[in-house]
Amino acid sequence: MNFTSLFLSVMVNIFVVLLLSPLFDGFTRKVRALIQSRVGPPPLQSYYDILKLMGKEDLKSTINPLFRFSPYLSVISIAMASLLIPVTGLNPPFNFFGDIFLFIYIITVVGIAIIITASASENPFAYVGASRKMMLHLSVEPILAIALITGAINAGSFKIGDIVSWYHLSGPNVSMLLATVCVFLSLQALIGKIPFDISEAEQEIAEGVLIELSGPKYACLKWANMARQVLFCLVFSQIFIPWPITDSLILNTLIALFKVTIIIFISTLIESLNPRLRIDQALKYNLTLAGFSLTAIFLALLGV
Amino acid sequence: MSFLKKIAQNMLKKSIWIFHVNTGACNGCDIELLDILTPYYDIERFGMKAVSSPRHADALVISGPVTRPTVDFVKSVYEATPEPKIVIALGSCATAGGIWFDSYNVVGGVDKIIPVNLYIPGCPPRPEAILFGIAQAMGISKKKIKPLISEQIGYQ
Repeated sequence: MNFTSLFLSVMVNIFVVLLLSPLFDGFTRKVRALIQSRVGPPPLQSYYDILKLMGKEDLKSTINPLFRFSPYLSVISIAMASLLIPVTGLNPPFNFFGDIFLFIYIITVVGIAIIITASASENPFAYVGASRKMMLHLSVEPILAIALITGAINAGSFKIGDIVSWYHLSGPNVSMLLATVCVFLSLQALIGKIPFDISEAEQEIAEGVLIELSGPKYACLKWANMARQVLFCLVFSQIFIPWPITDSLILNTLIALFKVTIIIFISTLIESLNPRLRIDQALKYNLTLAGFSLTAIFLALLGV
Repeated sequence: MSFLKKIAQNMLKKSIWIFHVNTGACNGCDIELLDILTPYYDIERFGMKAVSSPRHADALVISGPVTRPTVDFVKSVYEATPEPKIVIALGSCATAGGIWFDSYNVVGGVDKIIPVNLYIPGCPPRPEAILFGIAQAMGISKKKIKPLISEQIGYQ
């Protein structure tokens, strides 16, 4: 990969994950409004919200330095993680620097940043939200890790580019199909939408982890949440369904955006037609799914 | 820097998040406020939504006469809201005390405690009245009352 195409794909990845994510959130809100037979906000509403919050006063509800820095950490780690996902072709831009383990580390940092912010904000609702988020993260991250390791065993390499290239060439086998299904079933928990938005539950604990944040910090965490949704949809669509891939950079990006739109539409349908789970129900669901996805590793070790 | 500030201030008109404070209302105004979130009135098409923490809010909607036990809470909720913020007094009681204006346990209208930007009178105000008031605050619809000029009060 020469320097120009590396630069281009870095730009495309950051553009899709960070700058287009409020547009996808606006799409989600519009679809939800149409399902509830409302008119709904304009499609650019999420941009307005973020820009407005950036200009608001930043109230310092606590002197804890962790509270001041961790919201910005979450946006930065999302941008870093986006460079390890292939959007413009078979290889992610930073394929050389990072493998699936680095990807899982960085993705976990996003959740950790939110948990640290909530724990430092000295609010009982935020404590409840932080502990729920921690339980949810510990139960759902293994599923993605196991699915990626299944791909690594199949491809014989830990690099995301090699996994995608192998999957694209040799087509699905039993273990990869099982991993794909497991990731799809856990996608709603990964992106934190309604059956699993237990940590932010607005009606129950008043947006839990986000309750003490105001102004730019709140904008950053909202933005990080939106970008996280797009990022996990990209993980699912680009690593676990890497078809079709052409030689053209622009065409590949458009196909990726189309796939992400479909996945976000499906997850919005699930979101608006389902109630929120309790934390014990969500843990049970996730742990069952994690146990189920372990069989994918054994199947991959058997070579099927 | 001032250019960015200007963008943020322009965006404020397009997304006003409201936090509802009840200072002893009879629930009539609260139910009418909830009405404007329903599909029939759908306030989200103006980019507004109800948030659950005053730290996220741009507008405080206060309903009810301010009773003595809630005075401190009204003050602290006003301090917990980040600038720029507006305060909307919803209903006759929040506007001037309503039928409890001389009650021993009632301080009076909200404007005796914190500055109020917009009054929406009515007992309770209809959802259309709330929408109209908020639209006036955002500048979508023009004010129908003539401004107080000299000819109205008798000067030539």
